[in-house]
Amino acid sequence: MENHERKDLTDAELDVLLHAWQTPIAPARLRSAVFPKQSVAWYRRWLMASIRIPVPVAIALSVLVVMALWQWGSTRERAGAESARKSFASAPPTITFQGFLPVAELRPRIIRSHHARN
Amino acid sequence: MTPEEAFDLHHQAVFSFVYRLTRRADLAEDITQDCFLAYVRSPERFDEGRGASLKTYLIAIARNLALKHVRDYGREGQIGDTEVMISAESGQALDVSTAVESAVASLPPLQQEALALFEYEGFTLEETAAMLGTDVGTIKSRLHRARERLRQVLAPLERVGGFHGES
Repeated sequence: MENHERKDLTDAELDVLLHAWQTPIAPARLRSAVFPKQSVAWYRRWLMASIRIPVPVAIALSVLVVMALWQWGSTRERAGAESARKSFASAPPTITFQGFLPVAELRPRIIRSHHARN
Repeated sequence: MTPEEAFDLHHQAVFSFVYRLTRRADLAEDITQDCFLAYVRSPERFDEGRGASLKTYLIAIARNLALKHVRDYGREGQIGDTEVMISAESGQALDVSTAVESAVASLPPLQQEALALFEYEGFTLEETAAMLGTDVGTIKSRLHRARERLRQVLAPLERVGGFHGES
């Protein structure tokens, strides 16, 4: 005699059974298929590289760079002026006789000194 | 959330959902990949302001892709549409997971979808109804019919497992 009495599952039993169905784990290659690692030449990677810095740090760095450039510029200007002055002072005077004409008429004028009158 | 973080968080859920609909791991893999590629290419299409979660958005994409596949290629290679008979004698040898998979596959596609979203992915009735483009009453009805069917189909298995009488 058949001893299996036809009896449906309760909700709890059905829930337990339903959750016994395990799906496969998604393969790991899925990640690399969605986010492929591109083989980029080192120089291209270097050219395209970017860094993230906080805005206050960026502003401070910009101010420092501007100040350094200004300092360097003024030092250079001073040094240039100094070297120009030095070179002007040390340069021998260049005298040419171009355009020199002898005096047409000599008019000598004697100026007596104060002691000579006495 | 970056696309990488979204992938890490939801890819298994998307994969499982598609697998439960198609019962093909290769297809689940392809569709999950396409789903995330679509999101990575146009992440701005997901509008958080609409109230739907990212998981809902991704599952909806995956569902559309799965339906498109079924439209284009039919349901070849699936266990579905076959009558499932689990006898008490064969139940002992039968892997419970495979038996439940076969039982769910015997349900009509609309009931399978509702079951996958509500029972397995943990969506609410409202979310399930919204994703399937119907009302909550219809979803309740589909779930009720699905559970009634599964209750009958899986009863022999559970009897063997020890819930119903061991005499």
